[in-house]
Formats: sequence, C-alpha cells, structure tokens
Amino acid sequence: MIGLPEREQAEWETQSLDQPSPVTGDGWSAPPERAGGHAHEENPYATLAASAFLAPAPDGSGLLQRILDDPRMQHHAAGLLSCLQCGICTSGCPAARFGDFSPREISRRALLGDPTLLTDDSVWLCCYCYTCQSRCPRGNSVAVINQIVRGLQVESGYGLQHVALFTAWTEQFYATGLGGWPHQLLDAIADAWGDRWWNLVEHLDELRDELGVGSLYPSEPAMGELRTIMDATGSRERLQPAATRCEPEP
Amino acid sequence: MPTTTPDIDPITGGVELFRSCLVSTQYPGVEAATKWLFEQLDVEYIVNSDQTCCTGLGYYTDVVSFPTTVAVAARNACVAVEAGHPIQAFLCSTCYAINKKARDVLEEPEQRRRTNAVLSQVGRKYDDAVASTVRHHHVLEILWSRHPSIRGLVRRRLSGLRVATHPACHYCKVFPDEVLGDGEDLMLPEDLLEATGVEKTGYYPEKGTHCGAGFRQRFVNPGMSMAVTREKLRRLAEQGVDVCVHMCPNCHIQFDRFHDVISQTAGEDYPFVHLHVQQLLALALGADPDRVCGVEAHSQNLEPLLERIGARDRVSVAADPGVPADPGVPAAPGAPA
Repeated sequence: MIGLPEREQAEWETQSLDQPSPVTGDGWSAPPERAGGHAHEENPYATLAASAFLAPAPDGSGLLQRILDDPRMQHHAAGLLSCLQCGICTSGCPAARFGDFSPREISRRALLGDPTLLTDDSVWLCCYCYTCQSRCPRGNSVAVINQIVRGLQVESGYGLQHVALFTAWTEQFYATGLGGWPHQLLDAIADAWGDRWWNLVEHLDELRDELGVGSLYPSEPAMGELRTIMDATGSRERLQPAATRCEPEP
Repeated sequence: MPTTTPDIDPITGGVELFRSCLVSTQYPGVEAATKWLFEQLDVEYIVNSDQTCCTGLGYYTDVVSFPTTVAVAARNACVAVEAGHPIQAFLCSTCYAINKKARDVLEEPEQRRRTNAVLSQVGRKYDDAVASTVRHHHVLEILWSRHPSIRGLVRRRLSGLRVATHPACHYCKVFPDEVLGDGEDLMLPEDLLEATGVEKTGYYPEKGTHCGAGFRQRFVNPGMSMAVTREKLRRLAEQGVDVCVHMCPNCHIQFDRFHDVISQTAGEDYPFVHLHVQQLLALALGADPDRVCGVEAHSQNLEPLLERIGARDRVSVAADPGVPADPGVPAAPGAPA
C-alpha cells in the first residue's frame, strides 16, 4: 500500500474483513450476526425468499426437489430457492423477445413444484444460450431448469413428440461416433443454402484431404467404447415410447 | 483501441486439439487453420483419434441424457491424460462448456461413482489423477497465451479492415467467471487480431445476443431463429463492419449459411462476411485461403475480401521474414471515410 506510514500499513494489512473496523467500532455500522444454518450460508437471501414468497411450499409433486437434486443444479440450487422474480432472465431472453416464452414464469413454477411443467410445451422454446444464467444476480439458471424439465418430459414419454425430429442424431452417433447435424435435418432446410452448400456435401472428403485433417471418424476402439457407454446409459432405449421400455426378458 | 484481454502465461504441457463434429463436417478449414497457427506459434499438440465427439448437439436437442454426456466427457478426459496431452483445446464453445460442466459434476463423489461404474465397462476410471491433470481451454485462449509472437509473423497487414466479434454464448455465459475478459463484451477475438492492424469495433448493441441457432430452434422454430439472426446482422451492418469473426462453428453456420438468405428475404443489405477468428488470423499470417483456411466450404462469397487483403496475390504469400510489411488494405468501395 503506497503512501501509508509503516505502522498504519501494518495495521491495515492485518485487519480481517470479518472484524468490525476500528472506524465503525461504535456498533451501529458493524455487520449483523449471520443467521445460523449451513444450507443457505452461501446465499443469505435463500431463507428470505423461501419464507416470504413460498410459505407454505406446495411442492406436493416433488418436482422442485427433483430439480434441486439434479447434479446440473449444483451451483444453481440456492439461486433457484432465492429467486425474487426480478425478471432479468426474461429481459435478456431471445425466446421471450421473439417467441412466447417466459423464463421468469418457469422459475416461479419450478419453485412451486408445479406439475403442469411436465406437460408444458413452452420449455421447448429455450435456445440454451444461458443469458438467463449468466445475468441472474442470484445464481439461478432457468436454462438448466429447462434441460431438466425437458429430460423429465422425454422420460415420461410426453416429450418424445418434441425430440422425434432429432432421434436421427443418436442413431448417427451410435453408428459412426460422429455428431454433427444429420442430413435428415439439413436436407429440409439446405435447399435455401444453394449450390455452394451442395458442392460441399459432395466434395467434403476431397476438401478434407486437401486440408490434411484426416479421418472424420474416431478410431475403431474409441467407437466400441462409445457404444458400450451409450448402451450402459440407456441412450437409445430412452427414445423409445415409454410403454415399450424396460420390458423384462422372457 | 487498446487491448483489454488479460495477459496469461503460455499454456504448455501437451495440447490435445479436441475435434469438433461441426468443424469437421461444415468448416474443416477452421481445424486446418488452427493447426497451421499452432505450428507458427510453436504450440506442441496432437489430434487424438481416440477422442470422440462431446455429444453436444444430441445433448442440446435433448435426445442424449446427461449421464451419457458426463460419461463421454469423463472418457475423453481419461484419453487425453493417457496420451500425455491433457490440455483439451476446444474449437467449439459447446464442446468447451460441456466438458467443463462434466468436470464440475464429476467433483461430486456420487456422480463420479456412477460415472466410473459405466467407465469400468470400457476399462477406464476417472480418478483424482485424471481430474487434477486434465485442463480445458478454448483454442483462442491457447493462441492468446502466445500473442506477443503474432506481431512478428504478420505477412498481410489488415489495416483498414473493420472487424467485430460475435461472442459465443457457451464460452461467455456458461462459466462467466472463467472467461478471458468480459463475457458481456468479449474482446479476446479482436485483441488476438490487434497486431494485424485491424480496426476493432468493440462493443455494439446486441453484441451479447446469441446467434439464433438455439440448437433445435433453427429446425423447429425457424421464424424465431431467423428473427434473432436478422437483428444481429442489422446491428453489425450499422457498425460498418467488413468481417464478423466467430469462435463457435454452430454460430458460424447460422451466420454464414443464412446471411444471404436473410438478406434476400428481408430486402436488406448486410455488406460484410463471416470468418472464424483462426481463419482471419491465419490469412494475416500468410496462410493459403484454400489449402489452409478451406474457404470453399463457406456459403458466402469470400473472394472480394480475399482480393482486398491480398490473399489472392501469390507474391505476398511467401512466409519470408525479409518481405516488407504490406502497407494495408484499400478501403472497400463505398466505405465511409
């Protein structure tokens, strides 16, 4: 610290931020005692929000708890519990601006454990741009809540209508070890892209050879391991209608 | 405009250039240009054929479950460490964010146990040694860590070329605390190009707005998707940019492939083109537009830009330190003075 006499500098450097400053030692401006309890220690507003807006918490469906318990919420659970409905998520959301979607409403209904979220089609408008998450002053993430709710919809079978177009992705990935956009998807929109696009499709291998970027696909051992992982985590079964899943072997 | 991106020490210790499905199938020149830059800047790296795609497009179209994605990320981390090249360098911001998310989740003992139960079926284990060794960086961070060397390598000065950044959401917004610079006004791409003499745009209205792709939205809700993209194109046109630079192949598809479509449909002129940061930087350092940058894969016509910066002039391509610096590119016809 430049400009302080040596003794004052030493005092400054040894002061802990947790201790009342000697300047404010009269007590009126000392920091208040923090409320006890471990769970909300990181975010003191969590308790405030829960008591002010959510009493009694009607999470009869258990949906709120399922969302909070999801590993993807590890850094956002306290943020969801402390949501004050400020709406900053919605102010920056492209799906709210150009579509009929409200991330603020999703957060509110998630807090209430509203089971109608499990048949709500609006969550499928989220663009996964994470603007809501990056700007939320509480650390909530509606993008992640949407991912969780969509996953639950797929698991129940309701959401299969929303992912039907994309199941080709899983089959392509399983067969080749390569993601990308499957041609079943691109063919429908790529006519607008014109001749240059179709030229690329036809000559991709030649172009890759010229650029010296090697094979499109991972090694055979890697593809074998990938298929084992996909099978062990139920990747393809997940996309079957619920009624036909997990049928016991005869 | 001074650079604002924080300086970092050179990132060393074995770089694995993490292959991206969208770069591989849509803009392979982005991968080739990155390799070319790594060689120019003495970045020791490998491409690992045992690495698989991150599942990003499947995960974000909700057909792939999170446990699958985490297990694939854990396996890819094991593979990188096993090969002695544990610094995963991502060409795609979705690969970057997905692998970082898995990193965080795998710190939870229960999640790590479940994932290892899956990995045991392929004879692998994500343990503390892997977790503490694997590192995750966007390719631009690797390049930035070598940026003092760029100035001496410039072969085609880009002075007079106005450049704006489209910041990738999955780089800026998923882990905002780990962004190199300000995620709301990312300058890393433009700062990387600083030494080439470009005219930087910096902040502009809608800079942080996403590209419009929205994974499923491009296919399922094209009206919403195109409306977002159009808004961004209009804002970039207002800035008088010559090139909008990208750091994510999905954004690049959205802008490069739909630019002319939206322009014709909306009856609006957006007089600029899209390139990946690595492509424009490689061009400035003398790379061949076809054999290194793969411009053939682009939907936009890049020839006027390539001619303007002298990239079609074979004489100036020689990577000879004795070649005097180019005086700069002429202004585009009709460009504001």
